[in-house]
Amino acid sequence: MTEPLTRSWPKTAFRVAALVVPSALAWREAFTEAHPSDLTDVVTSALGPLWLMLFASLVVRAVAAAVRRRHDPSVSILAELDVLTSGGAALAWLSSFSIVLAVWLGWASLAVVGLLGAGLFHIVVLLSLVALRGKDPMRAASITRSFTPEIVTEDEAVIEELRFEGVRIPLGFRLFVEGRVGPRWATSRHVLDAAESGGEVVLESDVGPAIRGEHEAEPLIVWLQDTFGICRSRSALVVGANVTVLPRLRETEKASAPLDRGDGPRAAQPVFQLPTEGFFRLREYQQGDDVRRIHWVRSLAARELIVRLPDEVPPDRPRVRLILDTFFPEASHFACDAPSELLDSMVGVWLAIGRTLAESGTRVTLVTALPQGETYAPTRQDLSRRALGPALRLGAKVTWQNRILVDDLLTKEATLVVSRAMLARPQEGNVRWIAVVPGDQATNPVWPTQSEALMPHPMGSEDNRWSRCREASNRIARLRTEHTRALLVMHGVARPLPGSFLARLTEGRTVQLEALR
Amino acid sequence: MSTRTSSNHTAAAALVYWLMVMCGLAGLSVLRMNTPREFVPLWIGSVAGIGLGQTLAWLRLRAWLIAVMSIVAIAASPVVFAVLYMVFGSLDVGLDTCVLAFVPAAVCGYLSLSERAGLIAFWYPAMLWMVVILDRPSAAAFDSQNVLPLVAGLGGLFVVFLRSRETRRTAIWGAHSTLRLAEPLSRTVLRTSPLRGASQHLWTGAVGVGSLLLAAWVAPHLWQKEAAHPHAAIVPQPLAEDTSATVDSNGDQCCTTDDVEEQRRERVREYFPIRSTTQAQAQHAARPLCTRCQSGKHARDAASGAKGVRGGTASRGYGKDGSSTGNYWSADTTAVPMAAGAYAPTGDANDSYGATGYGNGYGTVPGYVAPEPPAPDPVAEVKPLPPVPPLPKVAKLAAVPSKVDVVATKPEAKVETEPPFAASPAHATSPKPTVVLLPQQPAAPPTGGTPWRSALALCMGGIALHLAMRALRRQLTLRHLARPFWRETLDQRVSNQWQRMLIGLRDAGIHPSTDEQPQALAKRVDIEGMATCATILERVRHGIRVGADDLAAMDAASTAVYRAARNKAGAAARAAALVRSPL
Repeated sequence: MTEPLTRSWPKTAFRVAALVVPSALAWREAFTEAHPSDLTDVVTSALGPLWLMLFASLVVRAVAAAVRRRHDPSVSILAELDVLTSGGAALAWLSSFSIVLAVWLGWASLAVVGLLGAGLFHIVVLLSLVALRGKDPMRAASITRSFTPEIVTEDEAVIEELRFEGVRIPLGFRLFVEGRVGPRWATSRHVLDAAESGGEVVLESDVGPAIRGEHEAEPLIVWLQDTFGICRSRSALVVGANVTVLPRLRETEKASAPLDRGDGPRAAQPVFQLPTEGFFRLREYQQGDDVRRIHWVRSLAARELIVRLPDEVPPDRPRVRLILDTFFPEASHFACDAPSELLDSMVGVWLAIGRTLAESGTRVTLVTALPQGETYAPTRQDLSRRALGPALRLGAKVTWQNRILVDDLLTKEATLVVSRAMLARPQEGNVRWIAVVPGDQATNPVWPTQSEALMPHPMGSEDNRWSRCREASNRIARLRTEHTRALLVMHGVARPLPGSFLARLTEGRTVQLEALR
Repeated sequence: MSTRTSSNHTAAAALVYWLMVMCGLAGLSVLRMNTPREFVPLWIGSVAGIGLGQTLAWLRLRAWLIAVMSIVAIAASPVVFAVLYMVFGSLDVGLDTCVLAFVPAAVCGYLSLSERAGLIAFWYPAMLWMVVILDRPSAAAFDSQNVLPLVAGLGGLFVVFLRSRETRRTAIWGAHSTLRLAEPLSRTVLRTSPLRGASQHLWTGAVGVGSLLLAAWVAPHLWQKEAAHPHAAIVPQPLAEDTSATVDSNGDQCCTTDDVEEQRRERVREYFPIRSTTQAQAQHAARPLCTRCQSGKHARDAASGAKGVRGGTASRGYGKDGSSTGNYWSADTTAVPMAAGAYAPTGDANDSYGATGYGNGYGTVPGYVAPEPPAPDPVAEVKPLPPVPPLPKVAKLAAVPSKVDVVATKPEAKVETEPPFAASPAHATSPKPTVVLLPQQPAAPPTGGTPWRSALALCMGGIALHLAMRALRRQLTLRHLARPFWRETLDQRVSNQWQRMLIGLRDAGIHPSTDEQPQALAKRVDIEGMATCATILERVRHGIRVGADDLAAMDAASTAVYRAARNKAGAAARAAALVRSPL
């Protein structure tokens, strides 16, 4: 467990103030309005010790934080005093408001409700301040996180296993755990009761479908909260685990299309030889032939001039370089999932075409730029139809990068480039482009809509708060805008080049190729 | 956005809330069994309101939409009232009680499922409970003897309600989010403390007790007493024909004491008015029958026709049907016997918060003839008292409820210590006291006759029986697993011994995980004898023949493991395991 999470300071200040201010206001009003003599005595006797202990606990905690701050400047005193949840703050204010109303209206039930609420609030806060003392309320618990299987194929289920051993959960508290692998992954949430404190508990959840990539899972967020929802501890982070998701291999429709057209990799190539070389093909001399190619022995035997023709390498095992163009510097500027989804599609197309070519007898070399330490470097991998593992691992590592242009990956060999768009320049040599276009689902995603009249979640959910709903609406609006912008940036420059192909993933998860004429 | 089917934990909060409301309503019904006109509209309004509120919450309607709908409903309410009038021929059907209950019930029912307004939601059932607690036959301000079970119940339900709300919130947190949530698969507890679960409940109970003590200590000091309607005096009313008999030989009249009466009219203020205490009846029976009338209030009361032999009052109708010729400040006005002869069949119209509110009592019924007032016993002739010097006049209770601190006033002590005759205020305009004959009051109803204690004892007995049945079932099961009651195969007996051993392990908080093989469990637990048990069990599972010696070895090993595990658990855990379910 490492650094705690921070909470916004105005809300923190409000919650810290809720520890003392509501009670002070309520009893000030009560002492003013009601008969002060008896009430003051009773309140002093009953609630006075609680207030004193609460105040003393807050002072001790603040002093301890100030001492720790000398060694660690990141320690915030306000954050150390922030033990209330929003529900706890609401209870403090509502109970005090009930007391004030009881003074004003005189209803006995209001006094009882207010006192019950205030009593519960003070007792729980006091116990929480004692139980949640120290930097690590969990007291060095062992929380192990793992994924099953550790290497999984895209879109398959991934089981996240959390093992808690010797976790200290104070009496009256619950342990909350929240975490996810990455931004596009499902969030797992668990709650452990104090009855399981000190024991050994294994929690499993399906965080799939798996998203392609080599992932280092985000840290788990762990905190304690009492059973009445009044107080909570500071959040702690539990280091994550690793999971590798290999890309799913897809089938290609019209697989031979890239090789059947023009002078692609399947066309025979002449061999450069001297005029006196070459023995396999002969023919009669024609005017204009190089006289040095005349085969004199054959000519004497045939009584006419016979010339030799240059030899050629037969196209029995063509070779092709299959390049994945991952140069997209703007990808990190988009908060939406469109760039990542497009990259997954490109990897799928890249591997699908490579496997199809390999199965048709072509020697395929996969080429792309992969991260190596802090930078990126071109990486080659021969694709064997019998051993696809290395190619899949290569596909799992692919990310958008901003260092290596596709030109740096081109050679004079026959090349197919899988890219997000065809570059607006004429074809060069043996290079052919395969542009991956988004499917209908990526073009027109279904965005969640929020009704103004209905709450999005069952009543009682934190996500129904107005601030959170507004935040969610803004996030969706921003995602929609960025999605449109990302589509324009990623595919807007595409221009149909003759001899190129468009590739798209169909709903059946196959790759469909369309030749451009 | 992710939405999963929530667990059953989400229903507990709503059920606890209904339990609180139902208990409160049931208590009110028991207390006012004789006046269904009072509690039936309350039931209807409460149930309909909470049902509507929780339905709206379940439909996830936002508060602003409900507010708009409420405004529309208010605008359409005259039509509704007109329809009701056409149907019932009158609006005097407890409609206002129903509305008074419906509106807060709907609001609190809606908020009972909210995230942070649980305390507001708790007010409505707490208010019902407070009426039950304070509105009792022997109602002092806080009669701990009688109301202790109710107070404890209210505090307990408060804690349970808050905890169930938090449990519901937790369940919703795990199942609903704007983010996509992972599907939880399994939860395996491999090892835990067998007593932690119970200690968690004990902690909750301790917090509840602490809160309750604080509330019980401080809250009564915030209660305020209001006077019942000043003309709703609980004064025994002489019958008209007996009026002449109240004049003694000296020509003086005999009356009750104003101050004492006004003290008795106080009650703790609440949203729904609490019944003026019927304790007054008992006090009536115990106090002197008459005192000399020197205050004009007696004349006023007599003229109002608002007096009843059972303390019934009619605040609205007072002086309406009787010839209210008496002036408040003129002491010698004689009561007109017409209304004075009225009789309250229900015994207490003052507390009727029904359709007509206060005073829908007998005083409003012209010509109402008392069905059968209890015949006044012959009263010995009262000797009139000699004139007393004028005392400082007691401040008249205002018609508007005033704030009076309960503890500060100490009404009971005052009533008991105040000499009834000495408190009789003199009236300056009273030239001659009047003696009014007081009929003999019926005996006060026995106090403490409420069924709470019996119900509590019944509940405790039921719980004890339930726990005893669990313990008995456990012993029978263990006995059968060790030595079966009927003939079983060897393989089954080996399996039984394994199950018996697992029970012992669970007593110690050790649980096998899903699909954990016996040998793996034995290795993890590492108790001597478990390996033997696991080996024999796996032989059985794989179809390898076992013999009687294997069974004997299994019996000895499982017994050793069972005992070792229970010894490891400790005495408290062993005791808790007796009533654990499932085994």
